[in-house]
Order: sequence, then C-alpha cells, then structure tokens
Amino acid sequence: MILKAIYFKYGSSKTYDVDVKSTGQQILILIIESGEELRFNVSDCVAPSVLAGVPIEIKLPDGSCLEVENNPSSIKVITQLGLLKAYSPFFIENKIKYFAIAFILSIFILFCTFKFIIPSASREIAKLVPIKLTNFLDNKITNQLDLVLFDKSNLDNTIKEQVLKLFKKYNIDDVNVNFRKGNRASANAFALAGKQIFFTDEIIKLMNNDKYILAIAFHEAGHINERHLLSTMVKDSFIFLVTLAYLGDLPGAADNMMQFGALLYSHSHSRDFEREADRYAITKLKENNISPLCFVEAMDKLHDHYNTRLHNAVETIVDKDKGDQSFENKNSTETLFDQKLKTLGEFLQNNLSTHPSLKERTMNIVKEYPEAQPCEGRILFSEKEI
Amino acid sequence: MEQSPVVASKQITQFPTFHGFGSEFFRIWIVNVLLTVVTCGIYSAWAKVRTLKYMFGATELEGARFGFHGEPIPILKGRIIAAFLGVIYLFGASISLYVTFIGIVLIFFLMPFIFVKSLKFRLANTSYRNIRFSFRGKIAEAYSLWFKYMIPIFLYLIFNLVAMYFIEQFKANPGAMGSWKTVGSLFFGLAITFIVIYSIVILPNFYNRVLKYFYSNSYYGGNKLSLNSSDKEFKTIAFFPVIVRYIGLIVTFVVLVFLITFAIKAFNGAAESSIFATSAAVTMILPLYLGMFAIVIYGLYLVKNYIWNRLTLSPNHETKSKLKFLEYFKISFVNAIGVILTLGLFFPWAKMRSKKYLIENRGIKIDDFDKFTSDAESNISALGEEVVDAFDFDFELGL
Repeated sequence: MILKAIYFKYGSSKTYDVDVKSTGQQILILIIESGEELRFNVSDCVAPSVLAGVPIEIKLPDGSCLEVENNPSSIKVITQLGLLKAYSPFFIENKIKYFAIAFILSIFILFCTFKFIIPSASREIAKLVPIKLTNFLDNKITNQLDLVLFDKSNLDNTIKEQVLKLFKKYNIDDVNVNFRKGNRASANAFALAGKQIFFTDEIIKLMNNDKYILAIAFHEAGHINERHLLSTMVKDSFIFLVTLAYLGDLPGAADNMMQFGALLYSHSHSRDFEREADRYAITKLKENNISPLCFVEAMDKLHDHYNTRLHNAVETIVDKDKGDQSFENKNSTETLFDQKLKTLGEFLQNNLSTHPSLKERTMNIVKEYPEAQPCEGRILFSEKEI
Repeated sequence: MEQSPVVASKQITQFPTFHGFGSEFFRIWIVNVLLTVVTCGIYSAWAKVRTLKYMFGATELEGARFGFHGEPIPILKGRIIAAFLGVIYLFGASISLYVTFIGIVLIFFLMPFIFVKSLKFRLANTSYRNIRFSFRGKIAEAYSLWFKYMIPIFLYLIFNLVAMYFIEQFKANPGAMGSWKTVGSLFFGLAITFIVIYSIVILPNFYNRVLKYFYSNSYYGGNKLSLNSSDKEFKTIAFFPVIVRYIGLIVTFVVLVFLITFAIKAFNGAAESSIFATSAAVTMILPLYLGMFAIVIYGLYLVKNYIWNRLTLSPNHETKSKLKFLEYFKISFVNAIGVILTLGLFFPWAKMRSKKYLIENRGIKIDDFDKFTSDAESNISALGEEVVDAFDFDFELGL
C-alpha cells in the first residue's frame, strides 16, 4: 500500500511530496518532484507517537523525517510495520468504548480520591507521625503565634492554677495547657499538632465557669486526640499534588478558581473536624456526668461575645445617632429582605468557613439531648480577681 | 548617479492555522488524567509530552506542522523535584514565616538558572519543517539581568526579615523601644509604598529586558530572532494596567468598608451583623475578581500585541499581530466561566479556544519557507522547565 507523505530532509526546511511504500524489511520513499528513490531499513525507523488529528511523524535514521497524514489506513500500515515505538494511549483515546470507560473511571477515581482516599489517608498518616516531629511543629507554630498574634498572659497565677487543677481533676492531663493574651484572636482556644492547647486570657475571663471551660478543653482535647491539625496539613499537601496532576497547566483565572475550589474542599473537612471535636467533648462531658448543655451554653456565650465585639467595632466607625435603639427593637421590624440576607449569610458561613456556625453546632446538641439539664457550673473567680 | 530600482517586497504575512479541537484534546486529557492518577503521578511526564505534541502538531504554517520532541524521563525527574519542593514549601509555610522566606530566597537565587534551562529545553525540542529552534542565552547574562533589576526585591525580602526580627524584640521587651504595633504598621506602609513604586517604575523595564533576552537569543535553525522594543514604550503600555489594578484595589477596599458598616448600621442587630459582614465581603470578591481579570487580560493583550509587532527573524522577516482586546477578553472570560461551572471538564475546550485565537492571529512575513537551514542545540535537561511549571511561573514564548 502506498502512503502519501511530506518528506523533510535533514538540515533544510525544504519540503518534498513523496510516496511511501514498504517492501517488507525496507521503506521505499519516492520523491515525486525529482523521481529520486530513498531506502531505509524498517527497523531503523520510528514513529514516536500517534495523536488524534495530528499528522504522524516517522523519524528516519539519517535525521530526515516523514509527515504522514493521520487516517485509519496509514495508522494500520505504521502499526503493521512496527514503527510505533511503544503501545500508545492513542488506542484508548480513539476507541469510543475504551474512552468511555476511561472517562467514567477518571471521574470515579477522582471522586473516590477526594471523598474517601485523601481524608482517610491524611488521618492515617497523621497518626503515624512521631511525637518528636509533632513537638517540633508545635514549637515552630507557637513561636509564630507568639510573634504575630499573642502576648504574654496577664492572668493571675492563682486563676491559672485553678484552671489546671480543674483539668487534672477531669483527666485532661495528656496535654500541655498554655495561656496567652489573645489580642485580635480575642476569646479563643486552639489545639496544635502535638499536645499543646492554648487558652486566651479573654476566653477564660469570658467563661468564668468551671463547666464551660471544661467543655471547651474537652473540645480542644478532641482535636489533639484525633490529630486534626496534622491531618489538615497532610491533606492540604495531597490536595496540592492531586490538583497539580489533574489541572497542572490550567491558565490564569481558571487556575485561581480551581484553587478556590480546593480551598472550599479543605474547609469542608475542617468543619467536619470541628463537629468531631464537638462530639468528643459531649462524650467526655457525659462520661463525667456533666450536662451536654454546658457546651451549648459556652458556645452561646462565645456567639454573643463575637457579635457584640463586631457591633462595637462598627459603632466606633459610624455615627451613634441611633444608639438608643436596642437590638431587640430593630429585630422586631425585620423585613423579608433582612431574612433573605440572613439566610444567605448562614449559607455562606456553613459552606465557606473553616468552622460550622455556632448556631448549627449548638442546635445539633440540643436536638440530640432534649432531656439534658441546664448547666450547673461553679464561678471560678470573682470580678475583683479578674 | 543612477538610483537602484525599488524592489517591491514579495513577502506576505502568513498566519498559522490551528487544527486542535476540544473534543480531540478532551480525549487526550481524560486518558492523561486517568493514567496519571492510576500511576500516582508518574505518567504526568508522558501526559505533558503528549499534550505538547498535540498542541504543536495541531499548528500549521504554510502546509507544515510544528513538532515537539521532548522525552518524558527528564521531565519526570524535574516533576519529582518540583513536587518535593512544593510540598516542603507548603509544610514550611504553615509552620514558620522564616521557612517561607528561606524558600523565597532560594527560589530567588535559582530562578535565572531554572529560567534558562527551561527555555533551552523547550526550544531545543521544538521544530518546524524538521528544523529545531534553540535558545542560546548565557546563564551569566540571565543572572546579571536578574540581579540588576531584582536586587530591590531581594533587599525588600531582607528588610522584611529584619522587620520581623525587630518586632520580635519589641514584643519581648515591651516599652523599651516603643510599641511594636506602631513599628509593624510603619514597616507595612513602607512595604506597600515600595511595591507600588517598584511595579510602576522598575518592573516594566525588567520585563522588557527579559523578553529582549529571550527573543534575541532564540534561533530557528541558523536564523536569529530579535525583538526591537524599548523601555520607554514598554513602560507606557504597562503603566495603564498597573495603575488601574491599584485603583481597583483601593476602590474595592473603600466600597467594602462602606458596605459592611452601612449594612451593620442598618441592621443594628447582633446576629445579622456578622452574617451580613461575611455576605458583603464575599459579594465584593466577584466584581473585584472580574475587574482584575479584565485588566490582566488587557495587560496581556497589550504586551502580546506589542511584542508580536516588533519581532524579526533574520534576515528580514517581520512578525505581525492582529489580536483584538474584546475578542481575546470574550474568549478568556467564557473559558474561565466554563471551567468553573464544569469543575474543570471544560478545560480542553478552553485551552483549544484560546490557543486557536492566539495562534491564528499572529503571523510572520516570509516569502520562501524552503530556504532555512538547520543549526540547533538539543539534549537539554528538562528539570528547569518542570520547576517553573510547579511554581506557576509562566513565560510567554509567543509560539
């Protein structure tokens, strides 16, 4: 069979229309313009690859090459002559049946990778990380937080001792508790990769109730117990590698958007970790015969604190003409537009943030324990002590 | 004295034709993804080679196609190093700002080397009519250019490190040297001023010199390319997009603050205030992003057009661009939306659409394509190119 091709001599950009045919062991090239004949051993010729819609290149031993039209008959000839260097993915790409399987498999594998493999692998790898490394990470992160966020704690030593005694009483002794002035982190508590838990002065002062503080400590111990921070770090590395493989050379804006998608995916797992730590806290509270509502009430306090803080911050910017109007008065005249905005805001918080909304977290517990008694905590220290 | 007759040039501008189709590339891409994931990323090097072979092979100029001849194994080696560096950087950045800075400094010193190696590899493996392209720029020249224009950036990084050190000292000894917050704000203000001035005054010159260095050291066979651009002209075309970008950021910031304060004032309520604050912030991201997207596309369009109207392939083949901003923006915008809405599945079509437009609207004046002769370098390590890819540093080759 004769193939029509373009012949490129080595070292020159001149092109020649040629007829190509095989004589078993040899390839015979007939240059149409001059009638010149060239012969090459089939075993010395190579077609590096076949791609849909792209002419097939055949490299010849003297550095010249042929460009053959890409059609089923030329592919058949090239395959029969054994010119293809290796088995080509072209045959998967080109057969609709194989391609459909490849497509479904790709979607399925990617789905499983993001849904199951990355989360579970991250957890398992996090559990395997030696304690020395987690201590190293904790030290680095602590230094970082002290540099950019925290200041030394101003809490009285007797208050700190009281809190530590409380934790010891309830067996929260496998963690290192740290106190810091939170500054812009305000009332907050953190758990790091190893055994470090941080309480800000602000959260201790805000809670001022042994059961509330205990509920929060159990929550942070839940993070430590499940190694959530390490899991997050391993998971983010996995996401980086998988998205690199999937969309490695995606251009500009689309790339940013897909990174935003990866961020949302990462945040959805962070929200799961928060829920898991909540469950851990509730279980521990129940084990110690403490009402789960202590956790709910502690969260409500935090919720009110943050809203008041935000409101006060805004009040310093805008005028205070309507300062006499209470929140309740304003809420009573809530319009449909206000409600829609509220719904939108809740949706955004529940889908974009690293934490689920406090409302969602507390409602779940209230629903799960309808019989739970109100929290009966003990005031830890007087206003004067603070 | 007898005047020589004016010979009318026979050269006409030839514009390439791009034969790539989204449906074809979709098949290649899906098989690439599948094999890459199944082989835990190893196949990605082969995937890249197939992608480039398709892109080049689909580009036709005067009856002949371009070709890509890179081998996957060197690319794989580069990818492993790039992925390793990427993960180290991610981990490091999450535990310490110092690690981030060390990473940046390391990249700073390696960048010219990576840049030159990647260009050499890419061009040495690109051919047209069986004649290879080549990049013959010297690494020393790249370093000299880099240090000349990037020293301010390097000093800026050092400045940041010093700033961090002092802030740490101030925090350790409160009251001894004044408020660390005041000093921190001062450093921040200085940093912003520096970035704005640098990006308007120095960066366009640097960009122009880099492009000149790239194009003027690129060859097609034995024929040299050269870029006839000037710092002044380049600064003029870069000025508008940069300024608009800064104005856009400032306006967005002001509007955002206004929206949030207005909304919270209107609500005057506890729960609603934080919810609306989040909503307003997220809502503002969209127009900000759209505006930035438009201005980035406009900047790219200006640069591409400018360069492609000032390139010459020796002895006297000039290039010509007929790109139009609105068409380019429309294509880029639809691509971005398509990729987002389909969670990336539109990517092959997006890539083909933009390639087709960019390739078919930039041509070259050549009367006889048969007269070029070979003279090229090859067998260059692919390491450089892969590290560049992993850190998302894209360089417009103009091919």
